[in-house]
Amino acid sequence: MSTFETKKYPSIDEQVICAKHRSGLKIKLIPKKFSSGCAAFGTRYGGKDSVFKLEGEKEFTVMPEGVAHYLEHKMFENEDGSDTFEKFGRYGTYANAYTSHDVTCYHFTSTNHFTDNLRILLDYVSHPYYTKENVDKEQGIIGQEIKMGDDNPSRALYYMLLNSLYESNPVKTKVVGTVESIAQITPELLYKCYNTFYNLSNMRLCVSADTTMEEILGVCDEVLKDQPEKKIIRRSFVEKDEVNSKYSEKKMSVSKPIFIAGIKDNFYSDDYNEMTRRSIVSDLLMTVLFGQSGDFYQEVYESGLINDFGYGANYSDAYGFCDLSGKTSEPEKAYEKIVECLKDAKNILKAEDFNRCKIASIASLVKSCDAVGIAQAEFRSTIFGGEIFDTLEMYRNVTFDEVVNLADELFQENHLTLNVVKPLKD
Amino acid sequence: MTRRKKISDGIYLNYIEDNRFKVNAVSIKFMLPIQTEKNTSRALIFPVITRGTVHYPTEKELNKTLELLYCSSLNYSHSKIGDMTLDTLNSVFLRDKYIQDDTDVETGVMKILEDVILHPLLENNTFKTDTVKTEVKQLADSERASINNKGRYAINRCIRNMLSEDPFGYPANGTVEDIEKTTSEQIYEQYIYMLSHARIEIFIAGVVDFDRHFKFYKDIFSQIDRQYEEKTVVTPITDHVTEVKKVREKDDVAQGKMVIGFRSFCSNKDDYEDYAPYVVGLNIFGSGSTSKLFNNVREKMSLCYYCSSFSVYEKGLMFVQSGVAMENEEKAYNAILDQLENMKKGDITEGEIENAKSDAISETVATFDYLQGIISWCFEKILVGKPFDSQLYIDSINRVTKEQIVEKFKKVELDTYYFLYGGESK
Repeated sequence: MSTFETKKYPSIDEQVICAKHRSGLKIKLIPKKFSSGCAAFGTRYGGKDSVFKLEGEKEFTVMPEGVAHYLEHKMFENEDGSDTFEKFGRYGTYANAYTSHDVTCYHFTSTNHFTDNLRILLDYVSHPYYTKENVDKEQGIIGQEIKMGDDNPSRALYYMLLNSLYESNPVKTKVVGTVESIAQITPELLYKCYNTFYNLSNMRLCVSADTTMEEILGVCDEVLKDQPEKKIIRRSFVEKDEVNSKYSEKKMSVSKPIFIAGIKDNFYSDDYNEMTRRSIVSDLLMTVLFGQSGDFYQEVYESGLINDFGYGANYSDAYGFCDLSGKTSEPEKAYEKIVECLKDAKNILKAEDFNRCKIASIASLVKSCDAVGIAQAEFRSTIFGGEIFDTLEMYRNVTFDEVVNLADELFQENHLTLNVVKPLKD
Repeated sequence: MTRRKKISDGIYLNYIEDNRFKVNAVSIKFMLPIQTEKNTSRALIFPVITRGTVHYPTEKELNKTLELLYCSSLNYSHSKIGDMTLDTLNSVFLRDKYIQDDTDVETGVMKILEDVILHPLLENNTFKTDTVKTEVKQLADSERASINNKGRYAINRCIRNMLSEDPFGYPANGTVEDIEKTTSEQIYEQYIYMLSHARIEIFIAGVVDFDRHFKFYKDIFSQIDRQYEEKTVVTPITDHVTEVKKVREKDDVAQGKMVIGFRSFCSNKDDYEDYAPYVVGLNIFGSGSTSKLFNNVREKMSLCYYCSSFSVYEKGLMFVQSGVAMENEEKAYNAILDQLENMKKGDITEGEIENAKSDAISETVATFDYLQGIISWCFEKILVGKPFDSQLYIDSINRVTKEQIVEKFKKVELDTYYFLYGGESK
C-alpha cells in the first residue's frame, strides 16, 4: 500500500498530495473543484538529451537531433491499430503532448470520465509501438513542422541566441531536429530511447482535478507494471564562462529588424531549490530593471526605439540565461541602451522598486494557481524535484542585496550577446 | 448565480457570482457600428488613455499603482464582432482573502477604471500630442509587423479578399496609411462618441458586492450625456457566391500557407436547433484531433503538420488553414475539398458524430472553469439574444442527427482560395 503525504498551503487555499506508486512512479495531486480536470505524465527527457548511457553501460549512445520529439509523436500509435486521439475523443477530452529542451510531457484536460481518461493516458505512454511504416510516415508531418518553424522569425532568433550563448551546451540542439537528422530515425533508435528514458523512476504523474489519490493509484495498479529503477547518465560537458559569439544576424521576411540579447549565467544546479532560487533572483533583477514600471521600459517605449519589448529569466538543471527582445529599426542603438542600463544597474536598483516588484511577482503566482492546467506547471517543478507552491515562499525570502549582488556577477561584458533578424531588403 | 441590470439606455451590468477563483475579473465592453474610416481612431482610444489619466498622469505611475495593488492587471483590446467594433477594458485582481495586508485592492482597481473612462489626460481639449504620436507609431509598426506571423497573415489576407465589400473585411486597426494620418482630435472625437453612443456591457465575474458596483457604474455613466440608439449587432452573410476568388501571393516562406474561405450560411444567431448541427459538423470536418482533416490530410497523407477548420460565427463564414510544402499545394487543396465533399455526401460515422458531440459539450462545460471564458460565453449570448443557461445548448447538441449535419454542410459554398508561397513554387 502506498502512503501519501499532504503538503498544505493555507494562505492560498491549496494543497498537494504526494505518493509513490509501487511501480516506482511518483505522483502529485492538486485537488481542484472545477468541472475540468488535467493530468500530465512525462519524463525528464528532451531535445538536449541526445548523448546518454545507463549506469553499467560502457559506451555513450549518440542519437540524431530531434529524437525525443519524434518519439513523442510516435507514442500516439498503438499496436492494435487503435487511435489514441479517438479514445480520448469519445469523452470529448482534449489531449496533447509537448517536447522541450529537457522534458517530454503528455497531458489531457477532460470534463467527464476522469479515471477512464487517466487510464488511456497511462496506457498509451507505457506501450510503445514503432514500426518502419509508422516511423517513416511521420517524416512528412514533422518535416512540415520543421518548415513551419523555419518561417517563424522569433523561433529562428531563439536558436540564434542559444548558439551565441553556448559552445558545447546541448541545450542549443533544435528540439524538432532538422529534415536531415530526422531522416536517420528508425524504430530501433526509438526503442533504445524509450527503454532508457521512459522508465517510471524517471517519470512523474501530476493531476489537478476533483479526484482522490486512491482513485489515481487504482488506475496505476491496473496499467503500470513494476519496474526496477534505472540510472541515466547524460554526457557531461564543460561550458566556458563567456558567450560563444557576441553577435549573429540573419535575413528573413520581417517588417523591421527584431533582436534578442542574451545574458549568460553559467550557474546551473541539479538541486531544484538552488536552481529555482537563482531563477527567482534573476527574474526579480530583470523585472526591476526592465519591467513596465521602470525607466528603461518607459524610455524605449516613448521614444519608439523598441516595440514589443520583453524580457525573461530562463533556468533549468543544465542552463541559465536572461534575454531581452523586441523590434527596432536601430538594433545597435537598442543594444547600446540595454548595455548602458546593465552597466549602471547598481545605481538604478532601488529597494523600494524591488519590494514593489516582489509583491507583484508573488501576487502573479497566486493568480496563476486558478488555472485548470496547473498540473502541467507542477509537472515541470516536480520532474526536477520541486514543488510549485514552494516557489511562493522562495520569492518571499529573496533580499534586495541578493539581487544587487547578482547584477554584479551577471552583467559583465563577456556574458552578453546580440542576435538580430533583419528584413530581406534594408 | 447571474444578474443583469440596466444602468441606463444601452448600458448593462452583468454579474456572474463564482467563488471557485482567487481572483475577480471585470470586463467593460464598448460596441459601435463599424465605420471603416473610424476603425483606427477607435483602436487608439485605450492605448492613448492608459498612458495617462488625471490621477495617474504617467504610464509609469499607473503601472506602479497596479503592482502595489497586488499585480492587478489593466489591459484593453480592440476588435470587430459582427457589424460592430468592440473595445474592451479588462482588469483581473486578487480577492481580499488572498491579500496579506490591509490594501483595498478592489477599490483601488475601481478608482483606476473610473479614471481611465472619465478622466484621461487632456491638453487643449484633446489628447496629448506626444502620447498620440507615440501610440500612432507603435500601432503602425505593429500593423507592419503582421507579416512576421505568416499563418495569421495568410488568414487576414484571405478574409480581406473574401470580404472586400463588407465592412467586416476591413482591418480592425485600419491600414498603415490610415494609422499614420490619425490625429489626436480624431481619436478624442471617437472617445467622446464612444461614451455617448456605444452599447456598453459591463461584466464582473467572481465574488463582489453587486449593489456597490452597480452604484459605482451608475455614478460613472450618469456623468455622460448619452445619445444611444439601438443597432443590429450581428448580420451574417446570406448572399450566394457568384464567383470563386483565387489569390496567390509571394513571400519568402519555407512552407506555403493555405487558407480557404467558405460561406456557411449558419451563424450563432440561428436557433440552437439550427446552429448545433453545424457546430457538431465543423468538429467532425476539421476542428478536433479526431477530425477528417487531421486524420486524412495530416495522418494518412502526411501532407502537413496542421490542417484545421474554424468559423467566424457572427458572419457565417468557415475557414480551413494548413501549412504545406509548395509542391503539394494542389494535392492538399484537393484533399481538403474531398473531405468537405465527404461531409456533404454524408460519409460520416456514428462514432464521429458521438465524438464530435462529446467534444462540443466538453468545450462548453470547460468554458465555465475560466472567468474570462464565463464572461465571453455570457457576452456572446447577449449579442445573439439567447439565455445564459448552457444546458439549453448542451441539450441541442445531444439531439443533433446525421441528416441535420449533412443538410447544413450541403449549403457550404467555396468563396476564396488563398495561398502564400515561397521562392521555389511555380
